[in-house]
Amino acid sequence: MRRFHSSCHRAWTPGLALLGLVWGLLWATGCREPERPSERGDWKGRTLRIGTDATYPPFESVRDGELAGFDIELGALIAEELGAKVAWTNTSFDGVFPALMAGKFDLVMSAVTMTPERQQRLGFSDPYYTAGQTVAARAGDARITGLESLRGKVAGIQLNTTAALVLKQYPDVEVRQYPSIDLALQDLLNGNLDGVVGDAPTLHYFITHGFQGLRTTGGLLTEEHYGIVSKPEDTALREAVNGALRRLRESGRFAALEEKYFGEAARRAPVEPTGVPWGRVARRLAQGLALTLGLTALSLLAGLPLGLVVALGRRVRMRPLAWLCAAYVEALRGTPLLVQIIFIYYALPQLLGVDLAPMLAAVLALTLNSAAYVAEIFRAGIASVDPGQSEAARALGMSPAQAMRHVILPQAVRNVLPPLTNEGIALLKDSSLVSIIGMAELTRAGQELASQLAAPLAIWPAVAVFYLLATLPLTRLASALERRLQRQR
Amino acid sequence: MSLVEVRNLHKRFGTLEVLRGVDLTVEPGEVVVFVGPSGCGKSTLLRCLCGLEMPSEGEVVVGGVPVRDEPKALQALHRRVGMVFQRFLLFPHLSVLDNVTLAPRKVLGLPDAEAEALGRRMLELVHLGEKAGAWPEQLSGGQQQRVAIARALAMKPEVMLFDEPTSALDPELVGEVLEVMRELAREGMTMCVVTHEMGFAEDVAHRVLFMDAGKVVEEGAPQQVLREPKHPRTREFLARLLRR
Repeated sequence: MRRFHSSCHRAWTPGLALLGLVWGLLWATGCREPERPSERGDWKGRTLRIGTDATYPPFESVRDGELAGFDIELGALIAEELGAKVAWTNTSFDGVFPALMAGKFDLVMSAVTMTPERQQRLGFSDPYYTAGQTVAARAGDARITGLESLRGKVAGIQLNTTAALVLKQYPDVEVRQYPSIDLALQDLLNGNLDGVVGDAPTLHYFITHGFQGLRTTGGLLTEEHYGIVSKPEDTALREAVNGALRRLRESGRFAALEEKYFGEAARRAPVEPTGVPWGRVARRLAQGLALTLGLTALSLLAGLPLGLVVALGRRVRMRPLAWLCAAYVEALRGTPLLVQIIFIYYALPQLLGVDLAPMLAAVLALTLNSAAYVAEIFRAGIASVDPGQSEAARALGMSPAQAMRHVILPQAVRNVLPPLTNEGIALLKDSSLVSIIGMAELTRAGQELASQLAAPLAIWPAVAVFYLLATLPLTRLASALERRLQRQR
Repeated sequence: MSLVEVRNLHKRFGTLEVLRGVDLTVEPGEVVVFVGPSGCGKSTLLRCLCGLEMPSEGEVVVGGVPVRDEPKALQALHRRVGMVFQRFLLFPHLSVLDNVTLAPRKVLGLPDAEAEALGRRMLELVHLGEKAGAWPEQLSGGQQQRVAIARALAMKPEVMLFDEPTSALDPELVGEVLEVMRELAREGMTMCVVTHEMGFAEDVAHRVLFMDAGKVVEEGAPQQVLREPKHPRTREFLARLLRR
């Protein structure tokens, strides 16, 4: 089963250390949440906020722009039982637990395996789904019949999933780890692996939806349980959820839902190999690109003046201010952007009692980060202007500020255009990191599409093309501007 | 009262003492030329006069106002004193006309139309009226230096300082700059000039000062200092200059 140890099945290892740190911080400060209705256990007429990472069909994925899957329908049923409305937040798995602890939502329903380690830190409902792992192999490869047959061969798994624990008992199986299960399946299809060990329903989903050249070998290797996660101290809500689960089982509605997703009929239902619905993909990626562009533009727009102010601040005679500006640059340039995003969105609410909307937190983090780089670019640009220029300006009676504004800066701007363009492009690509706080920008849209359509090979090149659609005009624009300024002198 | 008064001026950069007690007065309308070997402190003296360097010791008074390291006082000084640099230092991002009008507009607050009229008059003065719309890089060195002179004149300074204004020029371009400076002198402009152009010094200067090792060694009428120097250092310097 995936998601065993922690949240690092994405390739963002640097964020992990910080996630731990933020988590510890939240722990230490305690959760200064105002009393929520959950503590009274009465949810009638309230909104139940649930977080999920919709890249894991058939439990949760984005279909036609809407959340869909077993967890999603179950969440709706539970809310109905409680007489509550439901509001979903689709965010990356890396960010889903910090957001829960920061009070951004009340529950996490995201195919979360109950493990002893997690049960110490999180509150789990009664288990609602029993899953297990199985082996996937190429359809024409009769050698692979199950785990035993993988001895002396190569198996792929998703990073940090319980598959690793299973394979530990088979030291003669060579294990390769992949950030997501669809990439492991793709490598199996390409012939680089002999089998993939993973979560049975998900392997089944991918094989029927996009990897028709593969098959599952049948037979569950493990038994694991999914639970609905709440804050540990939120016992009233946990009891309410367990009550709702109980009532759903008694009324038969739970069984009906299980039948719909995992029953014989669902398994036997022929899935038409539809190919990639490019119109829909393009629309979704375009939406993601729009958000990416918006984030980048806003952050640059705010980061440019802020960076300029910081660069000028480093030159003033007031030592403390200059020192502060230098410290700002070092702090923001010396820490990963991902860490800053997580800090601003998850930790600030706890430390200062301010709650930032994801969009605001994203723009704030990108702005503060790019301002540090912009400041250094401007500083170098200003330093590259002949010091004689400033003397000439002063000899004409200009104040230092006038000399800066009318003589030094206009010349510095020419020098900094190429590095500023670089910074803009870097920021555009770095903005993908805000997916950790649930912003569905271009990379996140790609992740969702790749898992939902089981077609990573088609989706990721398309994502790349969409990034190029944004960056190429940007570089063109910058070089045109550069040429124009050159001609002017 | 003298326009420029310098009393016991010392200037040190770290342990290096560049000026070792200079006394100087310049009267209104006077043209003073400084000569001497490189490193003798004449450029530093000029930079002290226009407030780009602060005295380490002693006093510099221009128009009755002592030079102090205080922003407002310095700006007031800069307006009274025009400076022309060896390397011209035009603003490359501005047109020739804008180079001349920038300070009148921003420092004196002249309206654009007035500043432009002033700028064009100043450019006429240095015979570059037709270059108003050009960019500095399109001009020859001599033309650039004349624009620099017009730029300084536009602030209506009481005294003009020239720091080796022709040293960076090709020989054939030196004449046009010196000609403009001659005209200025004829109009009665007070000028302090650091130069190696002995012909110019003889023709135009009222007084020549020979400096060596941070001190004024000899001063007097140009014919006296340049033709019949009394001090051995002056003789040595002039002899070497003529051999070149």
